[in-house]
Amino acid sequence: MKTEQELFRSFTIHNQLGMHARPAALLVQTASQYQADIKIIRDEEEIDCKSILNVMTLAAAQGATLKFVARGEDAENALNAIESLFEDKFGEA
Amino acid sequence: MAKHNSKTKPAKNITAPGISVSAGIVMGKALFVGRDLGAPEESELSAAEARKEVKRFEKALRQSREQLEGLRQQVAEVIGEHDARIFDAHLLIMDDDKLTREVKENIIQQKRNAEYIFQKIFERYTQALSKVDDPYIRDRIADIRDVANRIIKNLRGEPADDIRNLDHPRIIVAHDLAPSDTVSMTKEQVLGFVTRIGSRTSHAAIMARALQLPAVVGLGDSFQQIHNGDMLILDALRGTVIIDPDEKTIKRYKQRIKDQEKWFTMLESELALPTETKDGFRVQLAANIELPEEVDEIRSSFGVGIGLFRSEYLFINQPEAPSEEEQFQVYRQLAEKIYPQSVIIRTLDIGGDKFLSSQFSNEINPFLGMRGIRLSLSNPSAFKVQLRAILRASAFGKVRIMFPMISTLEEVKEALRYLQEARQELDAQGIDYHRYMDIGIMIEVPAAALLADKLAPYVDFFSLGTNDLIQYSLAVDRANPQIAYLYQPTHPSLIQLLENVVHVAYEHGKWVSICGEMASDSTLVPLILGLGIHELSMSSVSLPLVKRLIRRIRMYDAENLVREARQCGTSREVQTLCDQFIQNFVPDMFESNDND
Repeated sequence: MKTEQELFRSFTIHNQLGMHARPAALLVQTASQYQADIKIIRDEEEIDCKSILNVMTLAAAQGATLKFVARGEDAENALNAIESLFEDKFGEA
Repeated sequence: MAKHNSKTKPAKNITAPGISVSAGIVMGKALFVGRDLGAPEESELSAAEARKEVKRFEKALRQSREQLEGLRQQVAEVIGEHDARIFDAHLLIMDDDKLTREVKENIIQQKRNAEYIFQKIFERYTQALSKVDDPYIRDRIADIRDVANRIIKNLRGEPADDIRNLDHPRIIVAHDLAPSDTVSMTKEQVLGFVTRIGSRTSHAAIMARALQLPAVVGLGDSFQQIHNGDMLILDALRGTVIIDPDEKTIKRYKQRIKDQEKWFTMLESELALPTETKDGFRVQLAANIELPEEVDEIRSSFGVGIGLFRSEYLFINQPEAPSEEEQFQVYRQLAEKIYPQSVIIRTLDIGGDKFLSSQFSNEINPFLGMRGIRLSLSNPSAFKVQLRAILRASAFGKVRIMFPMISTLEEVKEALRYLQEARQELDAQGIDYHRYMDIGIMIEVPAAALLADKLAPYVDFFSLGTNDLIQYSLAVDRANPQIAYLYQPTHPSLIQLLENVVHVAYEHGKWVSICGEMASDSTLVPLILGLGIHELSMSSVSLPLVKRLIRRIRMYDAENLVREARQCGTSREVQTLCDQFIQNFVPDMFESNDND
């Protein structure tokens, strides 16, 4: 088996309106800039972070914590970029 | 223009009756706008064909992407970057690799055509999304359907129904039209609207009048006779749509279209004259608007005030509510531009058939639910943001404020308490506002009409919202075509309710106006005047005709009309009286002055 970097990180949603359509779009656009395979883990399933249709089914509210897993060379950078999105409240209130 | 492609087929020449909601006659081809994809056709493929099918799907994706990018650019240039962002969501959905991979894999595995596979997969996604407990996300299903529509149309080789790419303007045909459908329509692309459901007050009707386009709504089952590209005559003077007309009908209508232009020109020439009955009674006309941009035309063409500014259009289709500053700027501009006339700003009237993108619309019966003042009072902080913005604007012109959907005295008192708090906050900050701004309430719930004498001491004016008053009095959902006949503006009970409100207003020295669509129905204007309502606010498109009518009747006759109407037991009798009134006193109502 190929030794591939696999990183886990969790981020909390701070913007009032939660993961609605616009933050979902931002998240997908950001994730898509990286080679790494990025997933969000919900219950037992993995949600493809580069698929807008999948991310929109999350509908996570303010205060919810999302667990991310990234596999690939630029996994670290990808997660950092995603982290700053969350910290920035997706540019919202 | 009226060329027929029917070399062998005779013209169908079907006349479909509907409800005219915006006057005018136009002729043109039908363009369907809608999201109904219909059942996907399924065909089996060989392995080789399936591989070709994947290529065909990829091509349709490429085409769709190019169309969307073109559209985005066009809308950004013509309308603005903000509206263009709608297409970013579409593009993102189209770029969903997971989806497209899934479609391609399934075409190969199941050996079925692309339309079939694609639609099945898309339906699965929309179903998953429709279960999401978030109205923002559910709103996006419409975007997804738009994208799916486009891709499937490209797969089928059908022209995309982008109104912006049309060589000729078309008549828009739809089951119903939502604000998101009409947001980017302009007069250059659209001749008129035809819808299957709807009424005078549905969004399609309001938009048609705002854009001054003819519209016939509520076609019902005869709607199914219309096909994309059919030649249509939209006769919104008579309230009919003629589908695939024959040469004779086309010829007749070409003449009528010419005549109507002359008629409209004549109406316009009367606009500068005073609004006064033959026996010298002055009547105040005003305009209902929903978009701040409309104010320029109202001022330059009509010279009247704004009797109803529907502030909810600042909130609808926005990701979040506009701030106090944003609202203030809009209200201030309205006040300044319409000065020396006044503007009545109605506080947020959301609910019923209009919802914010942030609001749950899962009420079983929204018209009896959380709407108008009820919603505002349940969210005082947002309500006060609007109150402060309106108060601040009052320093820059003649601003009046009005609360919608009042049904109890407590609601009036509570709204006034928040208004007082807003005043005190502004005082504390040293911000200027008009201390004696007129305050009014909408009378649109029968309970309020009956309670008018208890409400009157707290307000300066009543505004009769007859659309809802009729709907609530007769317990009729005006958008339901099966019972639309019950939506009766001439119902004797309504006359009694209106009389009570007018009587109370006179007794308490308050003023009363009407801002329902009833005011723009020329056959009902004499009835309204006779009832003692001398301020009429309506869509600007109706102003010239109503003015022409008022100048041709006497108040004396209008009051007699009401006296007779009081004796009637049915709407039909009252309507007949009103029709006879027009025939007797203004027989030339619908004719142009020069007769050739």
